[in-house]
Amino acid sequence: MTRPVRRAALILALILAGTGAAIAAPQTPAQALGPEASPDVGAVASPKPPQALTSVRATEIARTSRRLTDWLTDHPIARQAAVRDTEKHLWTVSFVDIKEKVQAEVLVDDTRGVITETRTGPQVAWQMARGYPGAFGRSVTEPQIWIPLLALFLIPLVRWRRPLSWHTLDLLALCGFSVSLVWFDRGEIFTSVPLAYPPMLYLGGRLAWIGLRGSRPVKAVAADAIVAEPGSRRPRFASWCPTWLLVTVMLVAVGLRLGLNAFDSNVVDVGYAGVIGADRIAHGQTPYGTFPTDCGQCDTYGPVTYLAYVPFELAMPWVGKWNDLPAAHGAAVLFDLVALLGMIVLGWRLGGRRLGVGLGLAWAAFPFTAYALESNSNDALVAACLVWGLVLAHRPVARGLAVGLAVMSKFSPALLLALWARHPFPRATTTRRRLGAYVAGVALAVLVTGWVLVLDGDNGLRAFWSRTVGYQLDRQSPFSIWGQYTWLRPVQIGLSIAVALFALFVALRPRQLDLRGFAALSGALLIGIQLTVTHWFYLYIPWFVPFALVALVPEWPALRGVPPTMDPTPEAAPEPLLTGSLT
Amino acid sequence: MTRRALSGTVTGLAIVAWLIAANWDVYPHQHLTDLPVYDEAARRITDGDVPYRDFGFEYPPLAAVLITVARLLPLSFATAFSLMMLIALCAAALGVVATARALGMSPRRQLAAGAVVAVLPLLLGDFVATRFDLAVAALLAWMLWAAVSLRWRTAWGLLAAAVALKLAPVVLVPLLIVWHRRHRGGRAAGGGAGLAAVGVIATFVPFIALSPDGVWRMFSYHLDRPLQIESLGSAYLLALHALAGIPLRVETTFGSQNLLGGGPAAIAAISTALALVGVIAVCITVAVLLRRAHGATATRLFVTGIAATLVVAITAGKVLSPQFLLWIVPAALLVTGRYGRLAFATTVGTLLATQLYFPVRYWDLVALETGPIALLVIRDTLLTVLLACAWPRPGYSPETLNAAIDVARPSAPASTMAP
Repeated sequence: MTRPVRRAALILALILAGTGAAIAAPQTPAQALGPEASPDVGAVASPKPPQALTSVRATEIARTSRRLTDWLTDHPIARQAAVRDTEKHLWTVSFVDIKEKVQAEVLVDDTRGVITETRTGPQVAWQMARGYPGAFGRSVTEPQIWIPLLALFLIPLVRWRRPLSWHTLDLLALCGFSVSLVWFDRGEIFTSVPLAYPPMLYLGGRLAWIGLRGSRPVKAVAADAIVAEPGSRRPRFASWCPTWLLVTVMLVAVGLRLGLNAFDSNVVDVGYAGVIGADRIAHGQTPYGTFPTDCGQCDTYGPVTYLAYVPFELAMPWVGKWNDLPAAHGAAVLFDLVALLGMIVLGWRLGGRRLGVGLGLAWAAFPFTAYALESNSNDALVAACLVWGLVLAHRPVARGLAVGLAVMSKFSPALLLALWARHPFPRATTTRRRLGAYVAGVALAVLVTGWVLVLDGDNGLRAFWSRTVGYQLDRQSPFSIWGQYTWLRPVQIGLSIAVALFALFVALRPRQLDLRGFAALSGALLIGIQLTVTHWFYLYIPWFVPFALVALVPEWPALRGVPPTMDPTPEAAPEPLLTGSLT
Repeated sequence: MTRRALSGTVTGLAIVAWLIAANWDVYPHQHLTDLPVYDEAARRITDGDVPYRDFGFEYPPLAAVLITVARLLPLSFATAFSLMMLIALCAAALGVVATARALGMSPRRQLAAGAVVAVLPLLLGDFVATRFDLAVAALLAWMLWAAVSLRWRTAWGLLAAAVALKLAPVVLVPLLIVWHRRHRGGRAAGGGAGLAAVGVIATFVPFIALSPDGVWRMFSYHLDRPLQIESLGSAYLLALHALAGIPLRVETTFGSQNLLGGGPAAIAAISTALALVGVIAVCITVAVLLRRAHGATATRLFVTGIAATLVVAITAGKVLSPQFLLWIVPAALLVTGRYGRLAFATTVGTLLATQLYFPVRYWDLVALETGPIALLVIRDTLLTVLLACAWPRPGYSPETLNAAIDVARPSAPASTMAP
């Protein structure tokens, strides 16, 4: 089959299967995981002219770079070296400090004698720090797409009758990562990284506050407080938009996302990893320790990540190189649609059709979920597992299975294990039976995915720890304040301990926990771990977004103080599937 | 306003609109006409050539008859064809008025609907005189009237004629069967549909006998057409092109400008499937709703279903030429219910939005300029809104409302504590 026909066939198959379209455009691989040494951007492909510049002249030209001068002012160098790439006709002038660390690189076009690129500090080793246009998700970060997505997210969700409210601030905080992304896209990670922390801190604190305070037991409420009646304990989607308009906006957002994925997206190494791992599994081999050199550290994820790609890899097999990777597109689209469907079902069951559409819209229009989709990463898989865990929160086995699968895909959700052992319904206690069912769910997740480790003997088992958790713990990265300012290491350790203690604390407190509190605390914990990691990236935002949306977007009835605003024309009450959580 | 006055007003309006559009040179688009194609085909037919066998002809046999008649009239082909389309316009306008009257609409609404049809050359552009789609619109308008008035033979006959003229109205067959079956039972409905099928096939038989391959080529021509640039699927891709710069290739094939490549081909296949699903979904929805609807509510539901079927067929189809909008106008203007007025306004808006880019900026659209792409997206969005408005819903007539209240109201308790 020719490529267009293959793409068309895949798109049709996905649409018909309800999983959406996933066809790929030619790729510009972006290194998202680790350093790389062979940059290919900025290369000049032309007939081989004779060498025009000497190394001395190339160095002189490189020295004229203003960015280089600024960088070297604070980072003195011991020596410099110029190497000519005879294929690309490009001089790479390196500036090395006394510790033999390359502080800067300047690429000089040998033919034209001009600087084509300047890399300073972490940009030398990290391609993703260089701000190459479209390195992640191609056009999705272009203003003409990002800003409309923000508008589609904010305009229906903001309560315009009361624009100055916590609700608006919450939504702005979610969108606030965009500010950081602007500088990231420009390759200025010393600005972008610190800018990611204020919204993360705010959202983490806000969700923790909601989780701890929002589920206060009724008996603790002041005597004169007005307590919402049981029937009003349902959240509602308070928006000026009629439901049909919400549906339309959601469909537009979904259409835009799928269209971009099909025609204008790329596969970063995170998605590439899934395809390679699936290929290994399909060939009866464990993924751990068996990856090719062009994605050498890509076997760092849990087995679910690789298993989830297997059907797509079987349908569109990997050909051994980082090409279009249609399997990665298919998997990313599936993860995204499963998460979207989970949000709709969750909202529908909690507060009726309108809330379902509202949460679906919030997921579909939120630019960072689109960012993950257009990068064809696997991060929506974590979100999908956890969202469906919320949907099935009233069933301990399913809850355990969902969080188990999330853990077995990206490990970080392990922080949720203690909290999710609780039955998130204020009047229900966590009995031994429920706890046993939950543990059985987690164990089931481990069993149904863990066999991947022993596919070819004990090699996978031996490699697993060092390739996954071990690698992540030892990881050096400039994509966190901890990586950029190493003297903050004690703070990082202290914060990590605090987050771990908080994870244990919320396993016991608050005594009564409803679904909103459960979601809020889950979101707070995931943000907590993201605050402490050495390598943080925007693709991780979708992990906690579902929890933030569930806790922050609907209008939840108040437990005390002002009675909840009742919709004058309420919808018919949804089926009481989660009644226990809402009374 | 009396019935005669209404008809006279609408007819007069149609003639005035036609004259204005024909004489005011506000549409500089002489290159965007199908008349040379028709003229050439008619010339060959009058010279003794057989369509499908001796030359390719993309339309069904009745279209060949229509253009041959125009050729045989003692006028220039363009003038004769234009006059025939003027007659079709008047017929369509009168058909809409008659249907509106049969639906029990107020005289004002009858006049409004008829007037919009009458001024179509101004709303959509005078290119309507250079396509025979007005004849299809007239046949559909009177088919609607016949079906609403329960004149079954007329309805099936007019639908058969419309299919024999342009094929696409075949999408209305299931709905007419449902409507006929409701009133006269399944056997009568099957008989009507069978009779219509025989009528359509009869127009093809001589040509099939002479050149079966040629007739098949006519069908395969339409099946093989790629994604036309004005279709909804194309608008989606063009929007992505404008936003994200996705590469698109436009080529002139099958007598129109189309998007070529793997992506557009996939979108074309998906949109065709969606059109089929949409037509079936509308039919099932109407059939289900008709079980609980009675009298005028049921009739209005049927008309709404006809509008929705036509809108979904052309909106989700892979080809959406501007003249196709003429088919939907008669039924779309007669949509009633909660969104009836919005449907009316959206229909007019769709026509005007089309004129914003066609024909004036059509070649800019083909050149993938952002401005006309935005206009096309707006037009196709309006069509989608029209589909949402015209989607059949349960009516809110007093009888159904009372029935619903009776069902919802619990029986009075034997005793109550309330004062």
